Amino acid sequence: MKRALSLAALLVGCMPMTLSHKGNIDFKRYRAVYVQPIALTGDGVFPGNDGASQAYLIDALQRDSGFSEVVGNPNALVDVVLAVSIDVDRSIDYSDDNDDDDYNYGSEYEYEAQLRFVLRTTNGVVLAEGSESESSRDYKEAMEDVMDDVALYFLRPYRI
Amino acid sequence: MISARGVLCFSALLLLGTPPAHALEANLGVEGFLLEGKTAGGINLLLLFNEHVGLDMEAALLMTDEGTPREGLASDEVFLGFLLGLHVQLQRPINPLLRLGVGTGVDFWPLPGVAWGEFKVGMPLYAEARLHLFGGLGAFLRSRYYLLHSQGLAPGEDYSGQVAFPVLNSVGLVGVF
Repeated sequence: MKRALSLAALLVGCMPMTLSHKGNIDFKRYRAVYVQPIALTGDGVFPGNDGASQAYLIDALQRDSGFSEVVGNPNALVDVVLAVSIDVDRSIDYSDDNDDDDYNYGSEYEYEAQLRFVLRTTNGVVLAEGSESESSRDYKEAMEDVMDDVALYFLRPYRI
Repeated sequence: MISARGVLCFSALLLLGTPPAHALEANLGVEGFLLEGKTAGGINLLLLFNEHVGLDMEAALLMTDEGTPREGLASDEVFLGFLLGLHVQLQRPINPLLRLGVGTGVDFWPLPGVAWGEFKVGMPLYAEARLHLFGGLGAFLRSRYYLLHSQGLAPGEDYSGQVAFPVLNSVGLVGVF
């Protein structure tokens, strides 16, 4: 009876709950990353956007990733190098709500950004690689979303 | 002239409330989660299609308390995210006052306070006791266990990794329509 009462008290009482993420690489060992200029290909690419994309990815990694240092300087002393390529395809969107989107975005195109990334040590050992894809009627949004996915892949470890 | 017996009967009716005699009944109210070191609360809606089967929906805000141990989150940050739950619930009326239920479905925990796009998801199995109070008010006590869940979603586990009992408890106060 006493055990049943203890169990009942436990069931109706305040319980802890932990939310955590371990991190996809060892951020204590690999602290500084150099983000290479992003290789952009595909018929949907806006020319001259490489630098802006690299800067956006650096910002996203600085905000969300577990790297202590994220740089775009190839001469910086780092532990790992992140190489990213994005292929952006543009297709005509024939959906019914196109008129509204024309009004909002001035475009009838759908952009699909397919990103591949490889994280290597400075010796060339591959630590992580993967691909992400996002699509949007807005070019910038498709690009930013797919780079946010990379930052999320390298999300800092947390325990709350 | 109202007799004492009449007053007693009327009071008893108020206390017992009205049993779910309708084909469709809605229970809408607030729900608070009984958590250590975190604060979570929001709204709960239970739509009963008949006496036994219903659809349960939850939307709650999740905050961490200041001063609780943490890693990977700024010490002054308290907002973590949300709980969005959608469950099928089966109920069994025990008497006009009390109903027992079980439910399962999906709990989605978006955590924009940690990072935009970060989330946890779980498939809960819960048991609840729902009490019909006076004046169309009801209250429930719910205890859920995750049958399946994302790595890192750990009810019952404290910061040091000790697991007492892997359940998440909540209480609610609802209006019955």
